[in-house]
Amino acid sequence: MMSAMLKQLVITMRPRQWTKNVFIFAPLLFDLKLLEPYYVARTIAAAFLFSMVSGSVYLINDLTDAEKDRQHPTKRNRPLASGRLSRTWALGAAVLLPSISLTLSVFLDPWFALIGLVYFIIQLAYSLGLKNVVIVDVLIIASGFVLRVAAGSTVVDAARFSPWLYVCMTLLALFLGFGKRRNELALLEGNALQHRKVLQEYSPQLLDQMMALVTSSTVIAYSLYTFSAENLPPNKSMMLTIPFVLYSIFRYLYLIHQKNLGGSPEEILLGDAPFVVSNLCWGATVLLILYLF
Amino acid sequence: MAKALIASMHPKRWLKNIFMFAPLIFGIKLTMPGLIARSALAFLCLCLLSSASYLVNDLVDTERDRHHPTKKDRPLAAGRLKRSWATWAAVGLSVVSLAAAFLLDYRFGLVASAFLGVEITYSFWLSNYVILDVLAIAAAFILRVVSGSVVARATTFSPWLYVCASFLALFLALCKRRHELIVLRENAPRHRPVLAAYSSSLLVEMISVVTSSTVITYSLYTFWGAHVPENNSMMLTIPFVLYGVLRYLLLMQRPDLPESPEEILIKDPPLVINNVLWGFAVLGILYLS
Repeated sequence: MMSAMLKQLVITMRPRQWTKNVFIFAPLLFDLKLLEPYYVARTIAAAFLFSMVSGSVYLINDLTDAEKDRQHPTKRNRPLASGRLSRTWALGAAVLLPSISLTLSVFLDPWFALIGLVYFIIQLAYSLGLKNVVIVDVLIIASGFVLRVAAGSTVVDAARFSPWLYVCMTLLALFLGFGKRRNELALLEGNALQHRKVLQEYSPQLLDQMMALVTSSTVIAYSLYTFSAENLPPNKSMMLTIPFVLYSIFRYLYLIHQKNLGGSPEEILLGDAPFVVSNLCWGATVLLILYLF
Repeated sequence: MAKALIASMHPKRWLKNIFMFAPLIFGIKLTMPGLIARSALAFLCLCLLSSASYLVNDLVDTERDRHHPTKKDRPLAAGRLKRSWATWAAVGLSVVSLAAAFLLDYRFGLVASAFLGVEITYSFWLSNYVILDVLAIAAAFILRVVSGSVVARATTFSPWLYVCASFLALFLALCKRRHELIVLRENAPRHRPVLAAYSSSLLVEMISVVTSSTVITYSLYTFWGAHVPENNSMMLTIPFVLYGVLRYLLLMQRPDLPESPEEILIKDPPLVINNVLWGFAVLGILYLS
């Protein structure tokens, strides 16, 4: 009974979404601290605490939406909507988990705890209503990524984390968010309205234009990072990584436009072979340039 | 036969190789006759080398070219040039121009070999993969600029210009794909299989990425590049770049363009005037101030 409830609790906390927390590792990597066990351990702890905080947001979301989810063709199978997870358990976890993880965060780093709290509040506001406000919904999704990167930089005492990388991450997150909306719009068409109220405010042309804006800006912000960030090799070799970024962005656009993908970024991130290869090549080149030159 | 051979060498496309003069011009080295001579020789090598790659490309694509409304008249597709002639010419041209490149400067020889490598991989393989095909075209452009910077002994060639040149090259390549989709319509994939993977809306979005990036990287060059005058007067050349990009976009909407749409760069009077004015403005600002 107990282990069954715990299992349902974990399912409700959407472990798949925890993969987003790899963004917490960005400052560790780009601030050249990947070889210092102390910072690696702190970053892992931070990623764990962040997963607990973000997971409890889903608990609260499902608690408030349980009634509505019962009407939905697939969402009615969620543990809370189907009754496999009792409301008391979920409620208890929703109060205890964020309190405990945010308190523990204070010991890790007070700034980290503050960012965690801000993230928690923003995500709560999203679940409770802002997800229905056009543009704000995608901005909030993006803020989640930026706050993860910021959280990661507090626990590694990052001194030289380039502001361009923040800009780049924000734009990239906006791109993923708009791509997700476009996919939902393309797939659901007539039914889109009931599924997500905010979708009636968007149109494919508007989303295409917004995506064009953020993809161009991402490419430029990344290029600027490769020339002007402080801890890069002076021979500008970091520029060699631009083609991979360009390829990945174009490939993602291709998957959105031609294959109607983009609904769940994590599937593309792990599932599309050319995209994965390009990202791995990018990662290997970045590591090589940052750590060997 | 000789005439057919020369036609298959596509001398019109040699124009692309003028990209290699960028480091000479933007590095303020146009006043040094020695470097001009080296660059001119290197230009010649690149022209012959690119002709070798065009011969290979026409040899690989002969069957497909027969499905194209205008490419079917190319000497190889029409059968006016023997395949053996074309093959031997391609090998001969590559050997001679690579040897000359290594004699001129061994580093130029290496870049030229990479250039030929990219072009041949493109013909045989990369041209069939979505996105990689246009990235390969852009890579060839960057290698042209790198060749120019090696032979002009450029030390401070601005990285912005490399990035700007590659975005411009991507822009031209993507516009070409878009134009092919418009002109060939449902026959497009038969002529170029990779076109099945592209759509107009995807290309429009990719084009908007590269056009914005071209304009911004060029603007950044005008304030931050090496050798630009202190008073930021290089910024005066931005409007020409903007007009050029926008005019090119406009012309791409027309269905009656030449087979190689980039030919409008030298055929459309407003674009030509704009490019000439831009050239004069750049030369004046770099060399007179």
